[in-house]
Amino acid sequence: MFRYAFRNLLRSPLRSLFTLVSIITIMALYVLLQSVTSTFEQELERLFSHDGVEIIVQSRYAATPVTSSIKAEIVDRLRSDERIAALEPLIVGRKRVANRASLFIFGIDDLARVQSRLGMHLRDGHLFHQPNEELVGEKTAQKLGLKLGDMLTLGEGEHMRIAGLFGSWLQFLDAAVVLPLAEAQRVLGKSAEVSLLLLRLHQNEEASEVMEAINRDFPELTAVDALSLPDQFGAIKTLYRFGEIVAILTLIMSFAVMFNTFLLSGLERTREAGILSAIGWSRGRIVMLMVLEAAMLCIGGAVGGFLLAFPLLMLLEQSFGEVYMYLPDAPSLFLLWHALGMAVVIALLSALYPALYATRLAVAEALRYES
Amino acid sequence: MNREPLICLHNVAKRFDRGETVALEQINLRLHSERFYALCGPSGCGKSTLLHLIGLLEWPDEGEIFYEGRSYRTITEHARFRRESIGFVFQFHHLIPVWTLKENMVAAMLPECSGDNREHRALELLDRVGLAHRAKALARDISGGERQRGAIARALVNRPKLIIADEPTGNVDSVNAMRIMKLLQGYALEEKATLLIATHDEGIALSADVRIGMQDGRIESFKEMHDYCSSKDQ
Ligand SMILES: Nc1ncnc2c1ncn2[C@@H]1O[C@H](COP(=O)(O)OP(=O)(O)OP(=O)(O)O)[C@@H](O)[C@H]1O
Ligand SMILES: [Mg+2]
Repeated sequence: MFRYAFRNLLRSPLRSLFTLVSIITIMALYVLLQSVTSTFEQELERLFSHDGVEIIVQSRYAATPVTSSIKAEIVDRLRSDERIAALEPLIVGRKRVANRASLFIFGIDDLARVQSRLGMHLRDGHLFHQPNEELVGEKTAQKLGLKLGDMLTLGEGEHMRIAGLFGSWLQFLDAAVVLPLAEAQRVLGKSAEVSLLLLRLHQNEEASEVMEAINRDFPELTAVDALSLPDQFGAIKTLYRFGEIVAILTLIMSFAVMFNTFLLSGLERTREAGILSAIGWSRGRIVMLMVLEAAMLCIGGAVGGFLLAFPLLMLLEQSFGEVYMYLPDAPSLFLLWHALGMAVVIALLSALYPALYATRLAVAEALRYES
Repeated sequence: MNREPLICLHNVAKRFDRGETVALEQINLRLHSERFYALCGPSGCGKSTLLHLIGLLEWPDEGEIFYEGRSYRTITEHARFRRESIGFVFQFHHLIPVWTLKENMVAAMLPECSGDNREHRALELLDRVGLAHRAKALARDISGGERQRGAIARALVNRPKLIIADEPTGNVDSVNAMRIMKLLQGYALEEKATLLIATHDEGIALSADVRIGMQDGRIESFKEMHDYCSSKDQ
């Protein structure tokens, strides 16, 4: 069967080649764009779903975590709630450094505790224990050519020494700078405020009760289930929608290309179906042959597109002077599965109708078929 | 001859263009096994249509067709029936042009037999029609006569009891025509198969056991050839 399908692809090698190239291009675009959005999505999930964080608190009208701001006195009021086992403040901001790149700056209160959740491991150096020390993500270091002990200035008068280099599970953390909470507040010019609070409860069952209480008693805050945090931010939601739209467009474009190819060969296919039927192939087997032919093209396109995304990502990264936080070094493997899944759907959709159409005639009619 | 016929047609009719073109009318016919029937008649008299109906490639509008006493109406798996019981040779070879000769053979074989057996059988038949050396050539790359011989090999590949050929020599030169007829007759004799061949060539009709004459969609004559020859001699 594979052999016959392969032969049929060679029926008109140029047409098959162009179709393949189109599918590869479309799939490469898909993998590339999806690498940006889905990496981000996955990382957020990973960040908040680990280690028992139940509830995330942010300011009610914040568009993104960067613009969220929670006053210190509110933090203290929340601390007094005895249902809360642990309360972890976090500050996030962006700064332009060395006139080139803008970096994320994270201020973390108790780094040692958060470390495992972020998959953070020191590649070199130590955690900060003196003032004016900072940790730098390995991607930042690589992009900006920084070494342990170098100074990285984070603004007017804020000369910080690099105490450690780390890697983590999170692209955007690797492309960031991590400071103790108080220093981050100073550097970011937000002395008495934090961006987010991560809450852990004594009893998980109390989660919805606690969220309700916070939302009721603190008009300036919203408390959300940690896993649903991404939905709370317009910008992040947009990114997700963007990913979905890209997927749908990919499906439509590949479908159009494939369908066109298969319709173009309608006459040959009808004849072929007539011949195969005459020599005793059942309709199902003939349809299967044509779907297989489409699947070979689509799967080839998906694998090709996935592979093409590697050099494209590299090229993208090189052409950005900035540290690009959402760009992974390589597309993750699950995108290959996505692309393959789409390939199968596209093959079925695009080949099924032409195949059924080609096999609709009585054999004798199909053999006479002219247009 | 009172044996049960291999093929029996009962009041068969076939019309085209929503009934306006009458291709076949009132066809009653019995074909017995191990015989060679030649179907003759002017162009457009309905020969091809009749062969298509018998080969289960098309459906009659009226009447009934039986194969070894079994009505075509009771056959559910048409493709399987065609594969197992009938070898059809078309006027145009109808090989898949982008497949090799061998692939064309193997594709026609029963999926039940093992790959090795199929390959073996394919090569055996190609050898028989003198095409073993072209087994790996694409069907579109070989000559017209070779294609027609390939098509014959394909029709014989499942050892059918009935071989139907629609002007198998219509598109080839006389040398190839002779060769093709020899192949078909030789095979029919060896495998005890029935041959039903539509032809314009009276020479072929002369070598048949029975000559069926058609005119305007009807069967006009049905002659055992020794009678036919002797009546001509007189
Ligand atoms: N699909 C069709 N649609 C319309 N008319 C058809 C169709 N097939 C056959 N006919 C008509 O039916 C009649 C018989 O056609 P058929 O092809 O059986 O003749 P034939 O004896 O095989 O002729 P030839 O010797 O030229 O092959 C002709 O009048 C033909 O025009
Ligand atoms: Mg004809």
